[in-house]
Amino acid sequence: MRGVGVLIAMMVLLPGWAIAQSVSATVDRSVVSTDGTTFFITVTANGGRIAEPVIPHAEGIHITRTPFSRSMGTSFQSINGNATTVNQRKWVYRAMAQREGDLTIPPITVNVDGKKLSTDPIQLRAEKPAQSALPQTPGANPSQSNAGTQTNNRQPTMDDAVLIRTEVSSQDVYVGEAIELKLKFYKFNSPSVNARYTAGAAVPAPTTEGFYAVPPLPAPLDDAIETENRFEYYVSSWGQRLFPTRPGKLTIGSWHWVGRVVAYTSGGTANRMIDEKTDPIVVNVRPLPDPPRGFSGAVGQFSARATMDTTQLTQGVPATLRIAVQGMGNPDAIGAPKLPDIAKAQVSGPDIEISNLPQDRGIEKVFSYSLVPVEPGALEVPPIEYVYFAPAIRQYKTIKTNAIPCTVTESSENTELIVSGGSTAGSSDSVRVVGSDIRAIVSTPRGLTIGRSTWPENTVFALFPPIGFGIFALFMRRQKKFSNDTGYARKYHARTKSQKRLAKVATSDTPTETLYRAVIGYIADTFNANEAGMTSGDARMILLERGIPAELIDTAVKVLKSCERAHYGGNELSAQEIGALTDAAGSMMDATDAIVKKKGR
Amino acid sequence: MTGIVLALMIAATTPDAFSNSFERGVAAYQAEDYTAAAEFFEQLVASRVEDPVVFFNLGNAYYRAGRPGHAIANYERTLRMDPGFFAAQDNLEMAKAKARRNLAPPLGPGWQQALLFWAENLSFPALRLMAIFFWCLFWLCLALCVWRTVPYLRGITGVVLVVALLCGLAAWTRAHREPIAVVVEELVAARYGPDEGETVRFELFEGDHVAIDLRQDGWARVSTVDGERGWTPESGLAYVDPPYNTTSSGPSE
Repeated sequence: MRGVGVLIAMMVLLPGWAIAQSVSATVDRSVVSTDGTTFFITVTANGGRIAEPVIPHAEGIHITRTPFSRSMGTSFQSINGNATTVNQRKWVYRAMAQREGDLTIPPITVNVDGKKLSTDPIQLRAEKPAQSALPQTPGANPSQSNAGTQTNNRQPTMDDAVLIRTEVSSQDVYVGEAIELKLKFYKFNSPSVNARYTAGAAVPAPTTEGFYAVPPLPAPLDDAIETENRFEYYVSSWGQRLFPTRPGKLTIGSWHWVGRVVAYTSGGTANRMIDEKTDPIVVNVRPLPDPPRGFSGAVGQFSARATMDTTQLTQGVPATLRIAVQGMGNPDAIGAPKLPDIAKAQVSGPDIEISNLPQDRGIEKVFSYSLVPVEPGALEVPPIEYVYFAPAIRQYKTIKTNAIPCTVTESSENTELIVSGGSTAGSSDSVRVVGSDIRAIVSTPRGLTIGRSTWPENTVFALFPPIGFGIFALFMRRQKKFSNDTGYARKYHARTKSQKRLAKVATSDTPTETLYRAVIGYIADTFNANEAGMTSGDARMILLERGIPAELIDTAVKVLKSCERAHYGGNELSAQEIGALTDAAGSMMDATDAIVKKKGR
Repeated sequence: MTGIVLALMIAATTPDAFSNSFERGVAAYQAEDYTAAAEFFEQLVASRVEDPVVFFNLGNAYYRAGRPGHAIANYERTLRMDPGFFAAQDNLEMAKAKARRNLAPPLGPGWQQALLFWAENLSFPALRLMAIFFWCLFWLCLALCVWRTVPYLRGITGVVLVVALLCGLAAWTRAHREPIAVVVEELVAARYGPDEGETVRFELFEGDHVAIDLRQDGWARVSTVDGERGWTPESGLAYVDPPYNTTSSGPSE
């Protein structure tokens, strides 16, 4: 029984030992390109427990560490009648050559059943890029194409991936004649080829200076499949209608396409920057022949029709006459028709509306006139001529609208009044009734004077108020300072006040007292000191402190002491002495004033 | 010689000379010689006399002579000087009724229409006087603010300043508005460029109003109310704003 158990255990465990463990690596080609085309490395390991391979660093080759694909399989082997289980794992890695020359992929190690097994090194040859063949759509085999007499049986390459074309309907036109500009972008018709514009948010349009463009930027058209160079392309188109605005040679600039093309081929992914530019297109623009009278300015092919909003009109009540011009041409140049005189009616306007006709049948420009019947009875809007230039026949063409008979019923208003219409500035519906004749001239002029420029007096009036305000503000500021700053006020008025006092000395009953008060008062006011009880000694101290020169101090003190002696000694001074002292005091005050002002500045 | 010429020029431009031309113009008009009347009034315009009555009478003379384009231009000139000249308003309507299409003048910028709508019917002198008055009033209020404290005076001063600035802006825009002209010939071609050889872009009729964008060598680049733009000879236009272009020979019937 025990022997049976050992046998069973051996049957289970032995196969693992008996499995041939192996690791190998292959590449899908031996010669690779350096143009960014990827190639694939396949690592295969056989065994029981198989770990992930360790990808080594390969000089000159970039290998993506994350496998592009993985697969695993299990097979049963019978060796000498023993059934065994074999696991096989495969990894496919993407790689890209980074330089030209001989390259080596070092051994790749895989842990199989606890053993580190390595692959053999792989030798590769990296070469400059050859033209990658593009994947073709089934059925687009060039040899089966029916593209005329061309004998192009070559395989498409990346050079054939993208094409751009600029097409115009005509390169010899008249001023104002429409030119259809078409920008076409050809992408090789295969889902494996992608193209993307990379130089900005939108593909820029070519320059169209000298043309009036409708729409302002090329608009997308329907996509199509076209054969070019016997290859099939998916074509995206943009269209624009151009109207030359002046005669001469006008140029439609180059169309520039900068982008990237990615092609997924059987040989890997091919990547290519594309910088394509079309040639400029020169358009010969001929001037229009001498226009006939009444030429509307329109160039193209047009039809015109006239309608009234009602044919039952009332005298003095405005109705609307619409003239619609339809066709292919520059909407900006479609001028208003020349209205003939409509008897018994006043016409004003027009208001203009522009709209696009469906199915690209051109545009419609509607001119709406306000028509006011002035007399009752029958009224007919006569046929209206519309003159335009038809480039197809190279001459001017005149078309006519239909006549519109109308009936005008009498208004209850005074029929002698004249009704005048408004204008296109939004007042065409308002009708103002004025007198039947103009107002008479005025025989007295208001003032026959020559018109003159008003800027000198305007300048005066503009500048005078702020200048006056400035003077007033300065005055108010000083007044405020006088009221708030006593010292400033006393100092400001000191000289005037003392001069008045000195002037009274000669006529005073007590001249020495008056002179003394004048000098003391001046010093007290000038230096903002208390006048009451000030002696000559105090005055001397104040003048010394304020840096007044010694000779002026001496003069002041002498005058004051003379007055004090006369006052306290009882010896009145003579008139000559008083005069001399007064003069000395005046001189001292003048000199002190000058020094104080100088210091103040 | 120079002195004599100067003296003659001064004599010719004295108020007496102006009065004489005016009276002769009125007399010719009353004698139904509208061509002569227009010539006398045109002489006054050529002498740079700016009196709304002269333009009004000139408009009447042209109207009677069957030239609605010139009549419209002169009534417009009258109303530019005195928007309250009701007789000119009425006669302008009559003249417009005689014109073929009456294309209105292009509207001014939107901000002007929104901000200065109240000034539409005020003349430039009135606006100028208002601006000066409120400007002086503002500084007076400001001085009053400096002098003593008065309730609400600061707010009133601010309002007066705003009014003064608005009046000033209105007067300035009136003095510098886009020049307008009236087509005075029966049919005037507007071309792509200032040359007779250029292609005709659109046509203007007598009495149509256009704005003048540019003047160059006897040509004017005009734009219409519906956005059309082209070059026309200046001889086919009468400018509504000074400097006025006058016809030397007066109207032709």
